[in-house]
Amino acid sequence: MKLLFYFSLIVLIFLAISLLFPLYWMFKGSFEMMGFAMKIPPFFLPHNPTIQNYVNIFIQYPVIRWILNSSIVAIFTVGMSVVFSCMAGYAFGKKDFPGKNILFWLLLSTMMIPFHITLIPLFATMKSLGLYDTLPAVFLPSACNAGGMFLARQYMSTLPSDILDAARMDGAGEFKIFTLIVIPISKPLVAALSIFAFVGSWENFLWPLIISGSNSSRTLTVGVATISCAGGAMIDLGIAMSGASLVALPLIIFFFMFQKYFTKGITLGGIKG
Amino acid sequence: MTRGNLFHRIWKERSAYFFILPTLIGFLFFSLKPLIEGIRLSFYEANLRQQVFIGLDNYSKVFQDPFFWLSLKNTFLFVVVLVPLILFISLFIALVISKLSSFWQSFFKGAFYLPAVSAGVVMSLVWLWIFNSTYGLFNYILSIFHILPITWLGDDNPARVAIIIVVISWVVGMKIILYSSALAAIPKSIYEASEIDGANSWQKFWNITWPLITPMTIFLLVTLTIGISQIWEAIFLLTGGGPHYATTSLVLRIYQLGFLYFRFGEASVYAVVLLMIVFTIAFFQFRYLNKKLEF
Repeated sequence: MKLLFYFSLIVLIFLAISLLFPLYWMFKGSFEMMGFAMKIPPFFLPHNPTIQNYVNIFIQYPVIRWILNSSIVAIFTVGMSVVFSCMAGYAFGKKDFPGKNILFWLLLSTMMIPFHITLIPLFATMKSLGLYDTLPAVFLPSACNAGGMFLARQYMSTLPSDILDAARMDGAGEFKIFTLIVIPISKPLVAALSIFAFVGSWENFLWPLIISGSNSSRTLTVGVATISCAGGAMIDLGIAMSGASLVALPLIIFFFMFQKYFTKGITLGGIKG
Repeated sequence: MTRGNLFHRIWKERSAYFFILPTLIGFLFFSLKPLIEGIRLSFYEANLRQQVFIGLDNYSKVFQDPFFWLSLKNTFLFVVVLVPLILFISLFIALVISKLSSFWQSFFKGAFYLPAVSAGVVMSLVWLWIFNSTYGLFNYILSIFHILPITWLGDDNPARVAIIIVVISWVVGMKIILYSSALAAIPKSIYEASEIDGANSWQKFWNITWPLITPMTIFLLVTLTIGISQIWEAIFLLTGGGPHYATTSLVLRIYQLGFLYFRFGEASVYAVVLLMIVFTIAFFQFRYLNKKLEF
């Protein structure tokens, strides 16, 4: 039995290395000139490391514009989706009102609707509103997020009701209770929601790809994908790897800063309640 | 309850409606309305300029199109291979991790989740390099074992295998965390009691662990099936649906028909088919499995 465990441990370590290796390979490749990166047998450590790829990508493409676009989209997505999720989560988790269950299941069922069926009508609507190729068109559809609302309800329903009742007794209005009591004691929830909203918005690909017609609304992820490959063919390895690193870096830094909220958020939203 | 009473209650709880209003508006505009629109468009000859009602013509056109059946078959294939593989790998990893100290547990959870948190675009680009048949790492490793180079993304089955590897690498992280939390919720005392009765590890797994994590397995089975049936991003970036449409999925066809050829009507037929598939899965979940699940 001990033997089996050690064997499993070896498999585990092998799997961990093979899953992490692509990320290492990307960063390594981003610091090498194409000729060295493409060499076979490969160098497993960066050969003649250089930042030339990063210089090239910033000179040749409007990367700063893309980063700015991605940041604006992320700020609005996080801000709107966190506020709206918390509001709805509070109502569904802590209040009792006619139609509550029907409304909750109606909203939750949107999680089941494949986003892709809404793709073409949404595109047509945005176009007719004159929002095609603008930043609001990129972030508006993610402003409301059924998953976030569900997570918020799960969390809020565990908050102690007596604090809220006491505040009500003291004559505090619902808006005051929400902003001054509910939100401050829901910090872990707000953190988890913000992190997921940020990651989701930063790596979102299909919708931003379709709705952005030019660099004025293209996000970093879409920009890097479009300059790196076309239908399965790599265009320029150095540009691709430095671009991919630029997309990945904020996500990885975020992950290391907030690892415990990631785990908490996943398990809270996943099941139980 | 009388009518006046109901209105009174609604008025009393008016703040609750205010709190859900933004989400409700978002739902109406970004989910419900486009959903109905999407179904409607499938009965229209539609492009950017005009819409003409043509009844079921789009459906008969799509159902006679060999590419539709091919993309349906490919999507089905990806679901059938990927879902069990992901479940097996993540349960295996979660089980091995659960035996380790809490430091190593969170270390490995982080290690496996890192690829999941890095964008799909990022992972696809790196794997595109690794799978390259002339300067990629995969064929180099094979050459060490004297295996001839494979044109990973240029042949039907190797391309499918490549897609499967990439998707696994970025999906398992989250499933491991979920399985770990299910395993951690099992009380230690049950295992201790069974040890006194002389149960071995194998018996402990099948008689205690497996039944107790079944709700999580079902949850993952349903969400994964729904998720993988919408597989798109890795295919778009790694193969573009090729070679010879061997990796073209339903959603990739929606993208191609809708946004490369602007044949909105036909693309909507694909979307309706996808909707039916997802609803069937969801229906079976509620009909047969909901009793076992606790939400």
